Amino acid sequence: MFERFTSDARNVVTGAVEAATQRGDRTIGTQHLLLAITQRDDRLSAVLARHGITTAAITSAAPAETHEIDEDALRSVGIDVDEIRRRTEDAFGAGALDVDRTERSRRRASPLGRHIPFGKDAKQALENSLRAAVNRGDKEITAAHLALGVLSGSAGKGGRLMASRANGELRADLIAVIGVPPEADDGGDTTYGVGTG
Amino acid sequence: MSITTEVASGVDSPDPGVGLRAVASLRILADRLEHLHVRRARGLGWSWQEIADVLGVSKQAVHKKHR
Repeated sequence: MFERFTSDARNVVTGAVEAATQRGDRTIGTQHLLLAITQRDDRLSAVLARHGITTAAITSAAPAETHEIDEDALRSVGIDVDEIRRRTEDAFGAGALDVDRTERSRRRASPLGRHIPFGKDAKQALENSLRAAVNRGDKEITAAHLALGVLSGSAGKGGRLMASRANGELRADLIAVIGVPPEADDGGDTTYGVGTG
Repeated sequence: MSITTEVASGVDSPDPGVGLRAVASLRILADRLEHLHVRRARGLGWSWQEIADVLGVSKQAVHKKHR
């Protein structure tokens, strides 16, 4: 699937993986694809910023998954973590509850780094970007196609953020970044012209 | 404030974020306790099937998560 991606678009995909890794998130979603774009400084990130889609906006709409126990939140539903901690340490030793062994063992299982799978929303966004390129007759899939793919699916945290900021102009602005295709095609339901290898 | 009132005020909190964070924290808490107890059970010679039966999940699921 990636053979028609420009190096720029590939950087967005690898950037999304990096963003998910840094945040400790378990799947790669549309928010990570967007983060990989907004963390850059180019025409595309400027277009997104003009529509309010910035790194800060994404981080606020889709905060990193937490792996910490929120003791205040648990207290609010009547659970005393201190008491659980005390009893767990009695049975398993000091710090037993506070070491995330589950995470550590997962990392140990893959010494080359944690494998983070693409979520359904991110996969759909990649497919949408491919479809958009095929329908427009674009030979290559650029970073702007990826942003378009996130917007048109409106799936996942990134997609929902984009949909909430879209006022009709966002799509047109993204298409302007892509530029004029060699042969404009009104499209329709075009079948994919590329393999998935 | 009685414990019941405290719990009720948390549950009634207008901020769904507090309740959702509590749920997320419960899952993390459950995962950590599960890990500790599964390891202990294995150390005591329990089979994966026996552990899975108590947890109410398949043997494959528990093996994949903890092996």
